[in-house]
Amino acid sequence: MSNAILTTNKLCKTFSSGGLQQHVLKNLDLEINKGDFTVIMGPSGAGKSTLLYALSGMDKPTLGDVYFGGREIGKLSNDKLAVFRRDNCGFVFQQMYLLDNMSILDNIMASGLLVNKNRKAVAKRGKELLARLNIDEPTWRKFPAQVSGGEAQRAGIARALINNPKIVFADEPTGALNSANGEAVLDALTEVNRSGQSVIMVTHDLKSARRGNRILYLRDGVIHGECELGRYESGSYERHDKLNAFLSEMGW
Amino acid sequence: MRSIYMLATANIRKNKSQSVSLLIFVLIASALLCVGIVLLTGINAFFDSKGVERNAPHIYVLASQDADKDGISRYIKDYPGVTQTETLELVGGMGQFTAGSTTSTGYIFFSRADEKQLMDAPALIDMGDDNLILQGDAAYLPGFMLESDGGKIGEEFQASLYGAELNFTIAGATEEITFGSPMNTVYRIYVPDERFDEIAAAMPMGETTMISARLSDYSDAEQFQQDFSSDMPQDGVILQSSYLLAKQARTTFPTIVSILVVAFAVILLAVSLIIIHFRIVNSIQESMINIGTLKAVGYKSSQIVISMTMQFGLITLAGGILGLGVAQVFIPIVANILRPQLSLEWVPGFNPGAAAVSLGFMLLTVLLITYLSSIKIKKLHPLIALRGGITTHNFKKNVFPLEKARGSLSFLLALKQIFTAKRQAVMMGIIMMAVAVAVVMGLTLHYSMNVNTEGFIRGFFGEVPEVSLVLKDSTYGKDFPERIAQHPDVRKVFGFETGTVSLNIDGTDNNPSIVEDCALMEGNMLIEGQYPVHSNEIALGSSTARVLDKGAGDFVMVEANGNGTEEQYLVTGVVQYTNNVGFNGLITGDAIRRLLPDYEFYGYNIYLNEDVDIDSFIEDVKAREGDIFMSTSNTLSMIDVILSSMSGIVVMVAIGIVAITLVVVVLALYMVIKTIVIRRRRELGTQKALGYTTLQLMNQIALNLTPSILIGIAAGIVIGCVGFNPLVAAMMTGMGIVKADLPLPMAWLGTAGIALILLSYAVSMLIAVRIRKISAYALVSE
Repeated sequence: MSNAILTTNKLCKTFSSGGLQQHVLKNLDLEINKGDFTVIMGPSGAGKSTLLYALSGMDKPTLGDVYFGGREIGKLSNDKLAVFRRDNCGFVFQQMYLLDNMSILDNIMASGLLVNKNRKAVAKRGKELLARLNIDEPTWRKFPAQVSGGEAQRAGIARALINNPKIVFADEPTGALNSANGEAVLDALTEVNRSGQSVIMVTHDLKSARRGNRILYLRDGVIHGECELGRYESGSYERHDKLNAFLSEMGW
Repeated sequence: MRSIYMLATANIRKNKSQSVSLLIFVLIASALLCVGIVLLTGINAFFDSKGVERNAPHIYVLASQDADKDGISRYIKDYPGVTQTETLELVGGMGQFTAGSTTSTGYIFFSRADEKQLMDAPALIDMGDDNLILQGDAAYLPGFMLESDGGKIGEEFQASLYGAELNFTIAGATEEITFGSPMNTVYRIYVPDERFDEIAAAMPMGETTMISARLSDYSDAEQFQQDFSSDMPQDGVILQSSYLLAKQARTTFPTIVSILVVAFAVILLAVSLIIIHFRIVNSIQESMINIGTLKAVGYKSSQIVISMTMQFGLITLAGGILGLGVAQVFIPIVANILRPQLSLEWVPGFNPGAAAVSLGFMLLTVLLITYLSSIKIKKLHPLIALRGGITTHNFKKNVFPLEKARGSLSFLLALKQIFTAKRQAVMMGIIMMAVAVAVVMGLTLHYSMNVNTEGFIRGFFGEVPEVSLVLKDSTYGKDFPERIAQHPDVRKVFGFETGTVSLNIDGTDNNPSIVEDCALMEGNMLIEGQYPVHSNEIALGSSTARVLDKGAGDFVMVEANGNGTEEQYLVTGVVQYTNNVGFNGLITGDAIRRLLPDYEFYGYNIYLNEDVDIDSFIEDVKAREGDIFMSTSNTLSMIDVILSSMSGIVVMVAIGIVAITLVVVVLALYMVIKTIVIRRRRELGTQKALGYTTLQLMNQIALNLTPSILIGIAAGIVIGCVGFNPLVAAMMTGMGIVKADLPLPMAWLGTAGIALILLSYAVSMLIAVRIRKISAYALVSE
C-alpha cells in the first residue's frame, strides 16, 4: 500500500506574459510520502517555489494532476481549494506575511477560527503552540512590527500548525533570518516533523536542507535527482557529507 | 522639469483606472459648477436684456370700465421718471382655460393681434412652418401653454369667462415679458380683429384698458406702485403690477435651482478633494520605496511633491476641460427645463467667464489639496522610505482581540481593519454623509412640491382658501358675507385682502393683508408671536421685522396710503408669505380703520366643505349674485398652475441629484476598494493562502466599509433633515421667507438610506469580486 500523501502526474506550469510563454514545471511525476521532511533545492529560477505552491493548492497547474491522499486537487475551484488548504495545509513563508494589524496571538487565531469555531479552544491551542515555539507571553500581545524576525517566523510556524495540518509547506523559512533565529525556526520545523506531520521545504541553504530526510533537486522545471538522507540527528556528519556529495553531483 | 513630468505621467499610467475615476469626478463637478455659474449669473442679465429688446413696460395698470381711466392715464404720464406710455384696449377677466390636458385659472385678456404695440409687442415663437394663419377662431397663446401637454398647434383651446365658453384653434405661441408666465397667472391671448370685436361685444363687463409706461430707472417701479395705491382711487382697478414683480416671479425659482446646482457641484468637489487626498496619502504609502529610491538618487523633496501636484493637476485639467464641454451640452437642456418658469426662450451660449471661473476654481482647490497632502514627503527620510516607511507603523492597541471579542470572523477582521485604516473609514463616512445630504435634499424637495404640497402651499402662499372673491363695489359687501355663509357648500367666509392698502411702518413700505378676524385663518403664516386681535395690534412681515429689528412686544408707528395720519401699534408677531418680498404683514379690519375710517372689504376668502367642486360653486354663486364681482378665483387651481410649472423642474433636479449621487457612490467605492485591494494585496493573499474563501474576503472588504457607510448615511440623513428647512428658508429669503416647515418624507428617506447602504454593500462586493480571479500565490508573490 502506498504511503504517498501527495502525488503529481505530468505536472506542468507555464506562465505567459506579453505573448511569451515560460514553462517553469515540465511533466513532473512526484510522490511525497507521509511523515517525510522533503526538501526541494535547486538554482534560482528552477521552479522550486512554483512547485511548492502547485503541490499545496495555492496555485493551479497548467497541465497534469496533483493528488492529495488520492483526491485530485488541481482542478478544484478556488473556494474549494481554500477549504482544502485550511483543513490540510500549513504555510510558512520567507517574508512571514503576518497580518500587520493584528497581534501575534490574533494572527494565529485568525487561521484557527476558520476551522474551529470554539474560540476558547483555538486560543488555548494557539497559546500552547506559541509556548512550544519559545515565544513568551508578553510577545503574544505584540504586533508583527514589534517582534524580531525569528519570533515572527516562529509565530508563522505556530499559525501554520494551528489547524493541525497533515502537511506543512515552508518556502525559504530562514531566508530572512539571522543564523540563530534560523536555527530556532529549523528546530521548530524538525519538531513538527517528528510529531508526525509531513513537511515540504524549499531552500537554498545547506544547513536548512540537512534537516530533511529526502532531498529533491530541481533544475529547469524537472527533478534532476534525489537523495535519501535518513532522519535528522544533531551533529551527524555522515548526513552532511552525503548531502554535499549529492549536491556536487547535481552541479550545486 | 521633464523628469518631473515623466514621473507625473508615469504615475497616471500606473493607476489608469483610478485616474479615470478621478477624472470622471472632476468632470461632473466642473460641469455642474459651470452650469450653475452660467445659470446663476445669466438668468437676471438675460431677463433684463429681453426687457430692453422687447421695450417691456416697467409699470402697468389694468383698469375696468368702472375705473377713472383718464385720471389714471394722466397720473401715469405725469409721474416723475416716466419716459414712454401706451394705452391698449383689452377684453377679459378672471377665467379658466383648457389647453391639451391642462386646465388652469387666471386672468385672461384678449388683445388684437394686428394692433401695433410699442411696448412688449407679441413675439411669435418660431415653430418652423407650423404656425397657422391668424384668422377666424385662430389664436396665439402664451408659449408655456404649448409646452409639455398643454396643447399643440391646430388643436382646440377653450376659455371660460363670465359664464361663456369660447373656443379657439391654437395657431401659434407668443412670449412676452409682462404677461404669459404661470408665475403671475395673467395671460394675454392674441386674436384677429373680428374675433376681438365679437368677444368684446359678448362680454362688455370684460372691457379693460391697459395703461403702461417705461421709467428712466425701472427700480422706481416699486415706489410708483405704492404712490399709485395711495394717490389714486382703486375703484375699477383690476391689477397694477411692474416689470420688477414679473422679473422676480420668473427668475426667483430658476435662481434657487441654480443655487442648488452650484451647491451640489460644491458637494461633489468636496468629495473629489477628499478622494484626491486619500489617493495621495495612499500613493505615498504605496510608493514609499520608490520615493526613497528617488530621494536616494538625488531627487529633491520639492521635485517629488511637484510631480504629485502635476499628476493630479493634469487629471484635473483634463477632467475640468471635458467637464466644460459637457456643460456646454447641458446648459441649453437645463435652460430649456427652466423655460416654463422663465416663459422665455433662453439659449445661453458659451460663457468664457463662467468656464474660466469653474476651471480655475477646480484647479486651484485640487492643486492646493494635492500640495498640502503631499507635503509630508518633505519630512520623509530616504532611509525610512527605503524601508517601506516601517516607522510609520505604530500599533498601540490590539482592538477586538479574537480571543475575547464576539462576532463572526469576517466581521471582527473587518472591524480590526477599520481601526487600522481610520482615515479611510472617516473619509468614506464623510463621502456617504455628503451623498446622503444631497439625496435628502433632492427627495424632500420633490416630495414637498409634487407629492405632499400642503406644507409648501400653507407655508409660502399665506392664507389659501378654496375661493377668493373680489366685489366690484364695497357696498355689495354689507350683507354679502351673511348671504354667502348660508350657501350649503360654504364652511366659512371672512373679509381678506392683500395689497389693497399701502402701509408705512416705521419708514418701511409694506403691502399687508387685511383680515376681518385672524382667528378664522387656517394658513401657517405665523413664525413668531401671535396674530393681531385688537385694533391697536399688527403682525409684521418677515422682511419688515428683519429690517426694523422688531418683533412681538415692540411698538411701531404706522401710516396708511400716505394720508398723513399716524398711529402707534403693538407688534403681536411676525408673519411670512411671499407677497411683496416679505414687506407685508397682517392687520385686522378694525385696526386699519384707525387709519382709514371708511375702509370696507372688497375681497373675501371662502372656505368650502369637503368634496365640493370649486368651479361649479363659483358658477353657482355668480348665477345667484349676479354681476357684483370684480373677480372670482379658484385659488387652489391658480396655485396648481404655479406649482406645476415648478414641479417639472424639481423632478428633473431631484432625478439629476439622485443619478449623480449614485455615480458618486459607485466611483467613490470603486476608488477606495481598488486602493484597499492594492494596499492589502499581500495580506489578502496570505489570508487566501491560509484558507479564507473569496466570499469571506469580499465580505471582509465590504464589511470593512459598512460601518462608516452606515454612520455616514445616518448622519447625512439627520443633517439633511435638520438642515433642509433652514436651507430652503435661506434660499427663499429674497422672497420674504425666513422659516420653512416643509414635511420630511421620513418613510422615503429611511428607504433611501437603506437602499444606499444595500447599494454600497452590493457595489463593494461587486468591485471586490476582482480578487476572485487572483490566485493566493499571485496575491502573495506580486
